[in-house]
Amino acid sequence: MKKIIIILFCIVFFLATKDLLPTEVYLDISRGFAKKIPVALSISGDKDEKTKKILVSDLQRSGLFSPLINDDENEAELLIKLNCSLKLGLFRLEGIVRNITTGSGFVFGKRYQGKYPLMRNIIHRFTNDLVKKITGEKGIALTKICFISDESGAKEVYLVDYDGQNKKRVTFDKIIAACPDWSEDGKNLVYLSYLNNRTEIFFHNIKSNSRKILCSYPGLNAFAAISKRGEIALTLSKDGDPEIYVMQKNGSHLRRLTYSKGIDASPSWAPDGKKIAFVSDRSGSPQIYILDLSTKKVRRITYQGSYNTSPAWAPEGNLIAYTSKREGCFEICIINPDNGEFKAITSGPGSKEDPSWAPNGRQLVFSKKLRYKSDLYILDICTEKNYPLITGKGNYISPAWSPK
Amino acid sequence: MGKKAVILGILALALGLGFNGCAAARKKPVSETKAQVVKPISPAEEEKIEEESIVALKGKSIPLAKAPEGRAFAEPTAEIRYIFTDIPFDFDKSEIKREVRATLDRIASWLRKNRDARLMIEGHCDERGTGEYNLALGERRALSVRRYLIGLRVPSGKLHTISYGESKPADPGHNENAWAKNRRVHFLIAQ
Repeated sequence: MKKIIIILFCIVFFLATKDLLPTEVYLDISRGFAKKIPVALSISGDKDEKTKKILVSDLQRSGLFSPLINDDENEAELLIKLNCSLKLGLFRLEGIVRNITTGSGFVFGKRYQGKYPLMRNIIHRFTNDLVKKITGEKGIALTKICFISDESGAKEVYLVDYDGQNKKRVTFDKIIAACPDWSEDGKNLVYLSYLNNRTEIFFHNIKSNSRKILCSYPGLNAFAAISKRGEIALTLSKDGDPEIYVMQKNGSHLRRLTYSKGIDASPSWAPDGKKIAFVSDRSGSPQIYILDLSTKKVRRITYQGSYNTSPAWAPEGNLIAYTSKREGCFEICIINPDNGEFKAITSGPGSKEDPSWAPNGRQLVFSKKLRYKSDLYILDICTEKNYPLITGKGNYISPAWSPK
Repeated sequence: MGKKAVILGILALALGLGFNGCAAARKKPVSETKAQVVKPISPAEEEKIEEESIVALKGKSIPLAKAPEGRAFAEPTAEIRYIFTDIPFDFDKSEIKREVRATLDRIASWLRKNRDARLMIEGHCDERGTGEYNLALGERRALSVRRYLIGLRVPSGKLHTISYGESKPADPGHNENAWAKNRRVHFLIAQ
């Protein structure tokens, strides 16, 4: 698989600017204030049914489009025309997108080519290009999610595509792995493993499948989170109490950041890398706090309820998702750390925990425990609808969405 | 505070001697004979233990020592299992409950007597908290047991911690009974 190099041919069509969809209008859509764009599909050639299935899933998962599966083109705003061919193991896709509400407004066109096993990848690329053209933002169709599952009998790290396909096991330690996260470039994973009968943070290169121990201090080594600049925040108890520390990606320049008695855990970087959200029980119950790295000042942001944990700072904008205990069940909430406004974005049966943002800041992945079994779900924060990512015979927990 | 430490120390010592007496009367394992030929604690060491116990009694943190390489921690042997019983905790709490003090006194005196032994303090939680937070809570439970033992004049270098959060329940059930059993500190020993 890794030997296969994708060859991409792009035909640059000449675009008349007036024919482009006005970007600003569609940016509103991406924030969820307007309805989804109805899209008609016209797919022809080899593997057309399979292509359609993947594309429809991509369009639905983008949260931006509603594909008109029954070809009711009268309601459509966009028309996607795909022509596919499969010859000698090579899959070719030619895509043309038109805005059909304003005459024959040409939006974009591109041709893709790659070995047949990369078919899904090629369609994901087309979706990303479409999203970029419509919203100006990067699509998420090529992102992955890492998580922990016990389906093999022990808790191991796994990877899966954002649409629940291509599940791949990363660790084979037959012990316990926990709290995985991504490096800022999306090429490495960090996670905790009990491989050597203690808690240690491993740094694992996905492509080469090689890893090293990043830190192994006495006591707890956990919750490693990597900032966009490549700094690692984590919890260590080596000084006799669980505290937040930061260090460089190679494990050097360790600095202690918190000095409170009790638990300081689960750090999550602000997108600018200047603040860290974390959980502390310094008030007597677990609550979310923010640490300003320049002033070293710590500020509590959650005051509702007696159990608020696992903060996840949105990749853009000022929003923190977290897990909150409400009437005996855990729900995912989002809070604006500046004014303290918050709301629950999940409801219904089951305990939801451990949110992690998609890089577009529109979707969240979380685990939902129902009748003592956990599965992973994706939630669109604009529609507040969720759908399963991974369900199966094991438990699926601690998801982390890749940054790219 | 200082006075309290001394009193506690004497108490612990007294208890330790008492228990040693019982153990010796019943059986004399090789490790115990060995423990008796170990040279006495030097005044400097004694002073360090005293200082640490005062710090611990004030509720302050004491840095952890690296766990010894090449020494395997195992379940306590049959003869001493009665000493190292699990320490229960309340939900979302890491405070030492009044009713477990006698157990910890017993453990402290055994450790003060068996000077080569090392203790692994495992912190566990029930399944009702969130997974990540439970990992931190388990560690805090282990650390609070550790602090209590240091307060009873156990040298900090003998005490190591590990948290398993909710991933190693003692009872796999999903009811109050099981949860109470799972909110615990469990002990392993390297002798």
